[in-house]
Amino acid sequence: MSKLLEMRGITKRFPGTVALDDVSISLDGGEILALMGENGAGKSTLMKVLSGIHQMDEGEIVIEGEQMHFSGPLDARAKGIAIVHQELSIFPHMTVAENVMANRQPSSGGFVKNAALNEEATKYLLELGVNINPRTRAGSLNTSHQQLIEIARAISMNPKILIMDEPTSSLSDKEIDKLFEILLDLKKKGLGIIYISHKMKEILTLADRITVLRDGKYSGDLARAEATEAEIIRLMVGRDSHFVFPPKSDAGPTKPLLSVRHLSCGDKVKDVSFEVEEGKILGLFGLMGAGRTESARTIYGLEGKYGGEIEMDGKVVAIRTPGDAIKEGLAYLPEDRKQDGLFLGMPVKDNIVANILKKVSPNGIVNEKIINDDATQMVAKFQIKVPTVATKVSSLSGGNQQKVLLAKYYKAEPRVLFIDEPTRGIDVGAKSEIHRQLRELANSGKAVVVISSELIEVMGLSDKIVVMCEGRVTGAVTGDQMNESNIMTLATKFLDSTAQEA
Amino acid sequence: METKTLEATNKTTFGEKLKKLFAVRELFMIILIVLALVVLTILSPNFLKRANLVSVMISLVPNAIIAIGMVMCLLEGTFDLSVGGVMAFTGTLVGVLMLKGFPIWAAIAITLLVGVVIGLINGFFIAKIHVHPLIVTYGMQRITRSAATILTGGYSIYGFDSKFGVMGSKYIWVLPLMVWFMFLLVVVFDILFRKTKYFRQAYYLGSNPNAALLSGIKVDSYKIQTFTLAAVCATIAGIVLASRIMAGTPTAGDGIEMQVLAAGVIGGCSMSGGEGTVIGCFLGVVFLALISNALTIMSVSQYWQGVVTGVILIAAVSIDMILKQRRSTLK
Repeated sequence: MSKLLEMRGITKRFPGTVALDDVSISLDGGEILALMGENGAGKSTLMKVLSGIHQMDEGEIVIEGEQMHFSGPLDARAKGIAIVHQELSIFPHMTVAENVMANRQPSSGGFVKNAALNEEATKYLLELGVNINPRTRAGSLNTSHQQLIEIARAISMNPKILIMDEPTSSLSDKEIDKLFEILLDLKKKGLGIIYISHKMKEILTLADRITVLRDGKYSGDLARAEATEAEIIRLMVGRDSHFVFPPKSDAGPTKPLLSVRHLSCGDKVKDVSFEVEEGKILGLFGLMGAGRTESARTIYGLEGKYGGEIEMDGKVVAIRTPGDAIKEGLAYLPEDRKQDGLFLGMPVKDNIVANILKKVSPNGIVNEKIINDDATQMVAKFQIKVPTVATKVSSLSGGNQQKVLLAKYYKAEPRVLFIDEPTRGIDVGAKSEIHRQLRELANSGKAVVVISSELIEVMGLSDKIVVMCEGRVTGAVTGDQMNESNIMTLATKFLDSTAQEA
Repeated sequence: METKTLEATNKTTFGEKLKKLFAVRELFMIILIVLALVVLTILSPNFLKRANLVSVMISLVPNAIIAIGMVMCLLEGTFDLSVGGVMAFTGTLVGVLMLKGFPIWAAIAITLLVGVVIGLINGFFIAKIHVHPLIVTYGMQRITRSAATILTGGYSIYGFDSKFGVMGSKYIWVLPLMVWFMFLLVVVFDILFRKTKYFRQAYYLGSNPNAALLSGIKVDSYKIQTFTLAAVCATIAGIVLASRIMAGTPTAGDGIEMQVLAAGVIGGCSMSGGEGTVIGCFLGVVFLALISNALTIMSVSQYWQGVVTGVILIAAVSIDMILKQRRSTLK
């Protein structure tokens, strides 16, 4: 009998990179296949090819012995492929029911049947153990409910192949248990499920088989019986996991540079307190929607008015704008480099000096020589791979772009550096270089705050981790307590059903 | 079963209910309009006279018809600036065709077809070539306005068969046919946008374009259809106007695109898409027409009318933004 799904020799090129290079995977009906790999390994791209969003350059997709040609998501859906995307794809202005049944509302003669629409949506949501009024606007729900809506959307398509790309990134333990129950049930019914996650525990309990990708290539297959965490990591990074992160700080407690006390802002940051010590790396961890990025943005003056206090060197400071924050010695490297951090169309050198224009312009006139010297020095220090400092940033790889951003903020001589998702979409080599540079910054007496949703990265990098959930700090871990289960317990503390706010 | 309920939201207090009611934009608009009516009645004894009210209704017909197409654009987070030019061009075209001897029905049919083609051209450049709608539709506005002038040599054209004037001349009860026609279109399209699968796609598209693509909405062709509807609405407005004044004027509808856009935003459309209704936008049109009428009957100088409408536009949208921000922080 032919396999439910075979993807053979899939190659996908994007301008400047090969995202997938001759990747083959297969899936049986009634099987849960875990797809693993680091960020940028190509998992999501492979799934986008399978669900018709990207078109492959080479290779073939065969479902139940039949060769497929998908020219769009509708084609893939027609062949029984449903996907829950990593990025939330909620329609915030529309009702829960319209979200679950997006563009597939029950209708007669072109008119949507509202009663049936709400009934159908409620049915699928209840299957997931979620009781939400189907007429609620999806935008008013919290992230975990939004994620559940998307899962309901995928299941409601009655697919043959269900793809889940990090579906649990903002779910509580209870919600995850419920989801797993459903997945195992679907599996019994003969569905093939492809499951992408970074959480080892989930993979090892759920998956029948694990396929690992590395740098856009097939790296290996493990049956559940032979899979161990160490083995998976070895396949993911291609070497032993011990060497991945730079050594941590061996200094004892140092003096706090930045103290945040009872910080609150809007409904995303509630009574947040933590201290950032000199020469240390602090990890700020939480699930999607936990408020970690919002906390950093508040401290950096991007969210306007806040409650509580921000102290530098034990002195209360008032930060109303990013300008104030920079004056106090803070720097914030945003999550979305391209959108918020870099001037893509401008040369590397102009990006590097963007925060110190005054310094490079004696008497108000821009001095090209100073800029060139400064930029050249930074390119060497951060090992940015560019032909010249006049190269446009848009032509650099993700890793080098991130280094340009690091250099830019380094030039502003911050004392506390916030960096949001420092290695998202960056290849493995550049990743460990950036880790090393962050550690060097800390060793040179600065304080670094790493915000990341990647648990492995936060644990490997930080001297201490502050964990957030639903806008609150739920605890801090250091040393021996810094393990996955402790951190996840803290990260899902308020996500239990009874305490849930609507 | 372990469930999460939203019981908290079901047990709403009276105050919250009131707030929710006000959150429905249409109601807010109706209150605003009633308020305007009261103030106008007090200020001017002429205002409530039937003749004045009917003339207000007649004057807002082109705006209200164009608003239907504009709502679809606004829902998707875009806009169409060509509608004024298209209205002038098609309004003169239908007249030229009739003067050339085409029967009325044929002249109208050909003009509508031309409207469809104009919309397809707009949509093609926006959806397929990815030129910004501002450029495409502004360019089309210049082209069509210019074409209207070329067509008529710069003058208005007259002398149509009197049967063509039915829209303005035939009255049902106290209102001319064109007003009933407008009501019909507004009501039908409001229902279509609320209830049909086809038009709901506009909300999906505006609410989250990326997710809309992933849910299988054919974004490109839908965009083209959107600009086609906008152009067809402008064409209908052009024909109706020509029927009412029994003339084709190349200067008709000057600045109407911005008036309708403003009405849409006042009526609850979001410039970033995903929000708005046909009725809301229609009420916005009515409100602006009342203001303009008020300024006229109170004999406010023509020079000052722009100042007043500008201030009202900014104020109305500012109030909305403030209320929205408050709502989201109170949540």
